Amino acid sequence: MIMKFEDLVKAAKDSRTPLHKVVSDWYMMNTGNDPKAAEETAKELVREMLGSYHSRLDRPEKSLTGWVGDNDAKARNHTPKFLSPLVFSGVGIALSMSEHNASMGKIVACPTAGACGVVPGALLSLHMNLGIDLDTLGNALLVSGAVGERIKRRASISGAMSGCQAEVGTATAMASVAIIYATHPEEYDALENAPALALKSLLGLVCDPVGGFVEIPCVKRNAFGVSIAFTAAELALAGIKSAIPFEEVADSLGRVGRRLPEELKETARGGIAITPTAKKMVADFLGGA
Amino acid sequence: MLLDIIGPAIVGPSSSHTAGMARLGRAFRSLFARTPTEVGFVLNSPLYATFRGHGTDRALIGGIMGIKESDPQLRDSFRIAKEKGIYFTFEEEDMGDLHPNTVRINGSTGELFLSMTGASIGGGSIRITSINDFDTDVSGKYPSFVILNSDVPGALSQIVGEISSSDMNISNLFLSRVDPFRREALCVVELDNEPDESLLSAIKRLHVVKKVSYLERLDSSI
Repeated sequence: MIMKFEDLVKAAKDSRTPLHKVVSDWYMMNTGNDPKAAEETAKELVREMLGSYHSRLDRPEKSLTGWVGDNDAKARNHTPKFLSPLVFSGVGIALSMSEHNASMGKIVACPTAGACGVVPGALLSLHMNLGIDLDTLGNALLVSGAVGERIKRRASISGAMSGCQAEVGTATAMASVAIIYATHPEEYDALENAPALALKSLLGLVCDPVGGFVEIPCVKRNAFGVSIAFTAAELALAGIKSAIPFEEVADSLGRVGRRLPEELKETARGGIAITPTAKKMVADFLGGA
Repeated sequence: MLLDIIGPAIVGPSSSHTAGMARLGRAFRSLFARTPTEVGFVLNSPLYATFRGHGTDRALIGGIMGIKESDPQLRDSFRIAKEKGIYFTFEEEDMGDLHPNTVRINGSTGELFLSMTGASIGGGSIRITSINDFDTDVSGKYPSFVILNSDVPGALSQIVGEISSSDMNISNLFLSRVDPFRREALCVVELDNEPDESLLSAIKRLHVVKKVSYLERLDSSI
């Protein structure tokens, strides 16, 4: 059955059923899988994310190229001057997960490996700073999965198909709804609007990885994704609505993605990947290895 | 996987250049039914261009030794391969129209040899496109038999009969004529559940069956 994300939110509101239950039932209707299993998997995946974060803390490694690997520690050792501790901690966790990914650590693809920092950044920060328990975060992750799934069906979640808007953009939309669901599960308007606001702010973002590696600018884009997700959640809770509904924004992502030239879709043939500095870094790495 | 969007839990940095490659390595090991002592990886040019920075090399070698795409040991696979005395090389080839992330794996134990070509098609999913020069289309999402059989009437019914008599359900079945002169066909049977050893030997014993390999289910749990 085709249900838009808005329909899922409406079903939850009208039937007074928690949204994550509506999502797991929707999943069951699409796949035939036990809805309970989806809820359990979500909780397991949150624990997996926390586990990845701790492995990174215990054994930080440089990336394969050596270009990234110490940004997370710098963020951890810094007291934020402008951002709230909650948001800045999320930004730091996103750096950590993405640097873990770049150094062949084990991560949860969410929705991809390249965008694996954004959702855990938001979720684990809520856990560490507001004490939100992991099971609640599992439910929020399930709801964020519905947002990602809708983007995947209407457009794409692949950088090679649609650019970074499809990866960090999707992850940011997912994180924004997870933040609201974990803290204000019955703010239906906010749940509907946050992902639309988040996704709109990243439409058109290109995928231009230096050397083709998932390091520059990917690691830092994950960090920015978290701050945008919190901003979108805050705006949505303030009652600010997205003039364009989420599903139409998702369509737009697909349309923009199709019009992006190949150079800006993970091929490392455009954007910052062809700057003189990037070219020199790549030459030094390939020559020295 | 959750809603096909979150997960799996994998070793980074890239689901297609790292996790998919470890999976292709595991597919090779499973089809070969052993770990090769010598292995040559031939990478399509686009894949070769970035293989070091993506850990594609470590993932392929790790997969060959049976290390899963969710196992952080993948990072140390070169050292582990050296300890096991596995000799390996990486080469580049322009494979033309083939999927950009295609790799050909040539492995041997000295006596036995297997060549497998496959592509990592995104999100860690793979497709095995050829085994010993026979074209195939195997996903590794199911436990599968890859059977080279005589292209004669009733061959398929004998194979399917053997499988159903062991109470196994077939999820997908592909049959294609591969060599009209030698009257050979390739049959890929994807199953719902893991078969017993005895089923593999029963299929091997069939007269119409020339060769059979078993490919284990390659998906990781979450």
